[in-house]
Formats: sequence, C-alpha cells, structure tokens
Amino acid sequence: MENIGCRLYDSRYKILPCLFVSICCLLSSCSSGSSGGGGSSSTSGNESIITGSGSVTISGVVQYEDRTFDSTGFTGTQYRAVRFADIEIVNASNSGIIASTATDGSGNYTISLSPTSASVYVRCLTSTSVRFNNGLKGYHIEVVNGGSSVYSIVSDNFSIINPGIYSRNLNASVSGGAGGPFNILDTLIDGAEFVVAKNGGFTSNKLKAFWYDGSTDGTYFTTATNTLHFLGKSTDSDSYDDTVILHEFGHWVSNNFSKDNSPGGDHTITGHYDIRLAWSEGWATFFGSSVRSHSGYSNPHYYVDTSGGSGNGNLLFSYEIKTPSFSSFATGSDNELSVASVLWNIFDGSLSVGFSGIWDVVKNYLPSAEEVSLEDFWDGWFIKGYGSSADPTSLFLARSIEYISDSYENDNSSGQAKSVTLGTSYHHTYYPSGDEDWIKFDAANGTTYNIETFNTSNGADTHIFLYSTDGTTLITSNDDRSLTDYSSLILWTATADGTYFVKSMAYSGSGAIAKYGSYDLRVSVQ
Amino acid sequence: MIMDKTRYKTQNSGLFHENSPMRLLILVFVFLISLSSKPLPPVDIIMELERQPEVPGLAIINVKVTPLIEQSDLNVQIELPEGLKLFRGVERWNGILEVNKMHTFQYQVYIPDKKIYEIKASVTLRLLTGETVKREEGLEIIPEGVKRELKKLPEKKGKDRGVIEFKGGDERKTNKK
Repeated sequence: MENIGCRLYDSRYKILPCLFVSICCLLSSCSSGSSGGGGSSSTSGNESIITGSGSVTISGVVQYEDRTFDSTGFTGTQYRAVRFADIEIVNASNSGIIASTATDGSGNYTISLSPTSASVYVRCLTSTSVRFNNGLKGYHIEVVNGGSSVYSIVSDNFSIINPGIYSRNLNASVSGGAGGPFNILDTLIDGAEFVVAKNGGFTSNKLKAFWYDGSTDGTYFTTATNTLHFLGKSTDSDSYDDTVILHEFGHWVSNNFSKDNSPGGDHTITGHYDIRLAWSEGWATFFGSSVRSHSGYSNPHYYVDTSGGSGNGNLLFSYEIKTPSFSSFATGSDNELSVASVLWNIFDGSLSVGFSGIWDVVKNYLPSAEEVSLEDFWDGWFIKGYGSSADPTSLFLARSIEYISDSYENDNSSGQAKSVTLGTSYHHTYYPSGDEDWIKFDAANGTTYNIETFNTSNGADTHIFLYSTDGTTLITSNDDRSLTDYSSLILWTATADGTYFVKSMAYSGSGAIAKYGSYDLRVSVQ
Repeated sequence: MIMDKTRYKTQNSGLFHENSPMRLLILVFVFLISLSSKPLPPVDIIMELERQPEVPGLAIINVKVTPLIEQSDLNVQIELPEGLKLFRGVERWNGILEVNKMHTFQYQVYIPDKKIYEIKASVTLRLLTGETVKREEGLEIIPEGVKRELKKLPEKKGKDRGVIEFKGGDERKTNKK
C-alpha cells in the first residue's frame, strides 16, 4: 500500500513509524482477507479497525488539502492525513452501508468483507464515531452543515464481486469544497488529543461543529447547545483558520471541563471588558496556542484570522500572545490579550512551568468560584500550591495586573486612615480580598468636596463611604458614578469643621464580580 | 445610595418587574446561555443596501465604519464584481476617523441586469504603534424577482444522519489490483 501520508512534513508524522503502521495495515488486510466467512466486527490493535471478514479487502489512504499559514496569512497548501475518521462502504444502488471502519493516525484504512454483486463506493466522513463507539478514542467529533448532515468524500463506484484487494485513496481538496470541513475535523482532533494527553481522558459529550459554505451565522461557541459554529461566508470563512477554530474549542473545553461565567458578546482584542469575558476569551486563545504547541506547530503563540479567500495572504489580523502585540492595550485582567499573555508566560514564557498546573487550577479550582475570572485563576494558583515555586507576580505586573497590596497598607480602619492632601490622587488596590482603604481629610464648614475614585482598572468596582469625625457615623456613600461607570463619586458640603473619614472597598453586594481591582482615590474642593 | 446591581439593570421597564415571567425568562437566558464569539480587530464595519434598486439602475450602498481605537491611517475600499460600475463614491478612501464614531461611506453602483452580485467592502486600520488590522464585509444585491438559489450539495441518508458527498477519488493513486 502506498502511504502518501508519509510525504507530510509535519513533525508529528515521522517516516519510520508511518512505514511501520503501513506495513501493519497491509498485513492486517491480507490476513483478514484470507480468513474468510463470518462477517463479524473485530479490532486489530489501536491503529486499525477491521469490520466484517471475507475475501474482499478494500484499503487506501485518506488525505485533505490543508492551507498552511503564518502571521502574514496563508502561505500555501499541503496534503495531510485525515485521522481517525469514519469510513463506510456504501451500496451504490440503495445507499445502504455495507461495512464501516475508520482511518488510523496516518489516514490509512483497511476493511474486509464478503464479495457482493452490488456496486459499491468508499466514503470517508467528517466524524469519529466508529473509533468512539469502539472505545479506541475517547472523543466523538462531528463536523456538520446547518442541517446537521456530516460531510464526506467518496470514491468512484466499483464492483467487488470478485475476491481480491481493492485500493481506493481519497482526497478532500480546497477547490472541491470538502477540504474546509476536513480541516475543522483535523484541528479539533488536535485539540481533543491535547485534552486527552493533559487530562488523561475526554468527556462522552459529543463535540459538534457547524460549518457550511455561505453561513453568515457567525463564529462562536454557545452553551445553549454546547456546539461550535464557524463562519462560512465569502468574506470571512473560518474553515481554515486553525487558531480561530481552537479558540472556540477552548470555550468548549471550559464549558465541559471547568466553569465559565462570561456574559458573551462581541469583543475586540484591544478592548477592556467585564473580567469574566476577558478571562473566558483570554483562556480560549491561550488554550488554542497550547494545543498548537503540543502538536508541534511553529510559532504557536500567534493567533491568525484570515478572510478565507483563495490564494496566499488574505490576512485580516494576527497577533502574538507571548510578547503581546498591541502591547499598550494588553493590560489588566479586563483585556483578553493581557489574560492570554500571562497564561502563556506561565506555560511557556518567563515562568515556563508547563500546562499541568494551569490545567489543575482550571479543572479543579475554578468550578468552585462564583464568577470565574483571572482573579480566581490567581487564587487557585496559590491555593493549589504552585505559587511557591512559580510566582507569577512579576509577569502579572508586567501587564499592569496588580494583585498586590498598595503602598498605603495598613489602612484598614479609621484608626489606620492615612491623611491626604486635597487635590492629590492616591493609587490604591483592593488586595487581598475584602481589603478596605481608609483616608482622612480636614474639611471646613460650608465647603463642598468631591470625594471620588477614578482611573479604575482590573475590574475595580469601587464603593466609597464618608464618615463623620468620629470615624463611625456614616454620612453618605456611593457605589457607582453612573449606570455604566463603576467608579464612585460623592459630592458633599461640610456642615462643621473637622477631620472626616473615607472608606473605600470593592462593591460586594448582589451582582458583584471583582473582588480585587486598582483605582485612584482623591478628595478635592469643588 | 446602595443599590442591587442586578436589580437596577433590569428595573426600567414594567416588563421586567420582580415577578414578571419575561424577567425570569431573560434572567435564565442571560445567566444560562452565552455566545462566545471570536476576537475581533478594533474596527467595526456594517454594509447596507439603502433601498432595493431598479434594474437596470443604481443601487445605493452604505458602508458604516467605526474605528474603536486611534489610528495613524485608515483605508476604506469597495470591491465590485465584474459587470458592475461605481457611479458615485470613492473606491478607495484614506484618512483618519474619529474614534468610537460611526462614519458612513455612500456608494452608488450601477446594476446592469437582473443577476445576483456580491459587493465587498474592507476597512484596514493602522494603529499608532504600527500594527495593521483589517475587516471585510460582503453584501449581495438580489434584484426584485430574482431568487437566490442555494447551492445544493449532494446529500444522502446515512446510518442515522444525512451525509453530504463530495467526489474525493484520487484517480492518480487508485487502482484495482
């Protein structure tokens, strides 16, 4: 059997193992083919499934045309193996399935059956149900169109009335239209193999991805159906955008192995959002890069989105997460690029401690968090004991994520309140959880003062309280400056001379999200 | 005043009063279902047909661009398929646009016959730090009376699912022994 899968340059496929598998497949085919009779299903090792028996053996290799890319967009094409995909032998006259098997890791398949007078053809599908049902793979992936029909490539019709060995190779090309869905399948297999390697197993939940030519539905993961959806529209088909596919798979992993509280919605890489969304999106990008690193691709720390147009280039945008692109925007726990960057630098950057600690926190700690964000990842990292040998403080600070006490501590009560100069800003952090920042200032009877927090970052949701000269009698308080601005503002006119106290703390009532955060505090005369 | 954030975000309409089934439904939707979309570059583009064109005649197309970040250069371009002619509007515009403000570029395109045409527009934004990002959008002009025929893929019934079949035989490497 000619093994054209060996021509791939991808480092995952080495020549010698590939030849070995090919020889095994051929031997397996021959022995099954000569055993005759029965028609029962059997498996042969981990790499070959032979269904049925008889004196007809059909074998071949299945490949799809992949589009290679780098940070400038597409760079060319190459044929790669269609791994672990369902193979069916179909009766050409009535579409009945005569036998089924699956490809191995090099795209090879072989199947034995009894001779029949029916004309048949070979069909390879964008699904892994045979290996899943046989217990050979823990994941069940399907790539389908809008009507949940699975894609396939088929051979010509041929007769198997005579005993013998029949070779039928299959190719899914870009121009033929089937290359895209097979690329989605292969990329998701990369992702699933990564999860299996790091987690020791998968989940029985089906991993279902929707893509079809002309789809304008959007590229997203939805918790409603636990499914992935990829754009197929002419200006932005994502069928060959591997990093986009793996980003969405990262959301799926979060939903199936951990916890995700993202409110969802559109988000740009330079924007600052709800810290739950930033965590979810940053994790998803980081996870995709981790998969590509595990699979041996070059420059896995790049995210690349193309228009999907034919030919080389066609870049929409790309960015890297190690030394983040758009660096001045990649700051704070409320920016997804910043989140992806700190995770990557724990994994393979300045800390380089690998994936297992990250996975332990994500899988075993985050589900206990109330509103999952980078804050919870930070807490989990230390609670799980990783912080002592791999302290991420400096790389968090490099992205302006200040999970540290500010320089005015201890200032946790009216007795510890720091005197402030009117009109001067004081930079504070809420850290650790429940931290209170107290200040005091001298006020004059009849003067109006602005007491405010501003320059909030890292999700800070400030809540300020003004106390009388005894430090205990509450005069007034403010949570949010406005419906959309979670900083705080008190306008107050003193009714007597004296030293007054201000307490600042993270909002902790219903709907609270961040327990940490950074902000500036100022008292000024209006 | 101390307010419950969940409450004040939904209390503005009678539809959302405390015991309203609508409020409960929306809360279930908001808290249980979320769509996680892919990352976007910091520029938004919307393409709209102002009104259905007479054919032959002029189609008025609005391309609405919103830069979400300061830029050193911004390029808006419209790409017409063969057979269409730009009657009015700038095919390629260069400049700088105000951040977070929607800017509309209007084009008048001559549609010669009753065919379906897809017009594409793109916006390329160069950040002050030098990085470049791009977004593209497409718009199909479907004249009145013309039906869009969906590309029908050959589909067969599989074991427990439909199967779309593409020809995938590799004649060069397939032979019967």
